[in-house]
Amino acid sequence: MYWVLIKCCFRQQFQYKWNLLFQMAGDWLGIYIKICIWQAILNAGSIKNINFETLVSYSVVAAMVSGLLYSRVAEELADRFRTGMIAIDFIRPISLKWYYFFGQLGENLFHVLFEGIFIAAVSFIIWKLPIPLPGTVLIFLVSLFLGLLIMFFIQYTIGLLVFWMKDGTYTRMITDGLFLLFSGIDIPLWFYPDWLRSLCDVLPFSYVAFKPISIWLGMQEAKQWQKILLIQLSWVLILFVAERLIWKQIQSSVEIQGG
Amino acid sequence: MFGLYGAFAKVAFLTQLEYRGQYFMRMIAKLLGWSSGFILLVILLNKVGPVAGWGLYEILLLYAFDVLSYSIAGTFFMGGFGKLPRLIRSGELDGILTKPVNPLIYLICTKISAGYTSNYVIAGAMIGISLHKLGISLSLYQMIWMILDIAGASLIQAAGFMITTVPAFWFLKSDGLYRLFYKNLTSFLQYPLTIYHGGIRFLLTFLLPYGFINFYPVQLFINRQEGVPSPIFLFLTPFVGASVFFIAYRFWEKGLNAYQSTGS
Repeated sequence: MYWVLIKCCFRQQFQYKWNLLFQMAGDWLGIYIKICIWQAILNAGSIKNINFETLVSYSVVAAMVSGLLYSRVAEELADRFRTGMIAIDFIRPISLKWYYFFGQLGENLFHVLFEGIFIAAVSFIIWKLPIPLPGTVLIFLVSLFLGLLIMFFIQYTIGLLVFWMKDGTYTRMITDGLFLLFSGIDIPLWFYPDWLRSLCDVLPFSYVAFKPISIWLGMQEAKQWQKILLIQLSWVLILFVAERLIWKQIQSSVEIQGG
Repeated sequence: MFGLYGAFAKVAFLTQLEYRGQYFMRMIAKLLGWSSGFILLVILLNKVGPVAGWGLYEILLLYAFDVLSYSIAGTFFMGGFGKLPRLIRSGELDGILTKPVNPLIYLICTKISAGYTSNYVIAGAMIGISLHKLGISLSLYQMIWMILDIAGASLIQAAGFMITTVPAFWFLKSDGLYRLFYKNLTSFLQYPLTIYHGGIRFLLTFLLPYGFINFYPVQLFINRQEGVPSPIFLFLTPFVGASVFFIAYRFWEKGLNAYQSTGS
């Protein structure tokens, strides 16, 4: 059933050819900007232990990851709360959460497969970026999937706060802000000061972006991949429980208000 | 007449302040959302030192100009133009056209946004801190010039919103255009344009004059003249702002004339 959902979202996306083209141009610009910034920083000469290829690989893979993370779940939840649709979701046989997760995954996979992979392939050829061994790629994919789950749970759980905050745009801004700061999606955590880096290690966000990408790049972190996967699994579990608790809380509050 | 528009704007503004708790949460969300950009910049530049010869506070000044002008433009134009495609599709625009007032001013005043006040604070503070750290004290003449620059930059940003969303009159959808020609292209502005290829600088100077939002005007205050075809470019922002806004306004009128209600 979820597979059908993924396929439907996939097909829907084909309809918007122009949008796709514009988006692709925009994504290229994003990567180009990043590369210019890295180039300028390396030209200044204060960074010695990281080379240009690593930074470019990082940015390209990070762009793919963030393509997979796009989510409207906060706004959709807000809509459902406003219109009262949420009352129906309480009694539906299909879980709202998984409905969103697979729907969004289908849409995002479409983008990443059709434009992301193309962008990635071209950049890997232009800048002759190294590609890791198949085993590493496999671990990367597993870790990436766990990361996606973590991020989705975070988006969904914070999205549920709309019940108290009333406006979905802002619940999403909070998630996006925290993610940008602590995940390393924009700037690799190598550039962070030590105290901030330890903070990032405690929070779940770096397990969505920085850690999986480090596995891909074969950086130091990659040697402890078993540990990374284990921590990711625990985060999935913790967030799952947190989401259940909040959901229960909302369900009972709604009943008090009489829907 | 102005009293009427003022009343519209006041009502729109105050309704957003009505729910204190909600407004407060919004402020936190926005504060977090917008300051994260500044924080990342500080983190990176603290580690790597100057980029293309520009120090941390010079780049922060660039970024603050961008955020401040974006927020001023956003306060007045984001509400109306961000929703323009939806207003057209839902037929709400018809309602606006039947009112005996200028549709643009009506749209601006009734959709004015109270959500950007936190940005004024962040960006204003950043400008103050940067100038202080750079040891620059502005003369009265420079201060007036900075205000004119911010006004001009805001008009450029507003023109960017308008020109990329007005095509919704013809196509009913315009978010792709908006994203590419406004959102993506203005993301060049976070760093000095000298780090990009000359073609990009040309594009952002002569074709889509986003460079005048921060790159050219800021150099006046920090005594630089980089990537500038002529020193006069440092003074052009208010004029560029006024002219592109005029073009955007004409484009809006053209769109309005071509407008056919969707009938919904």
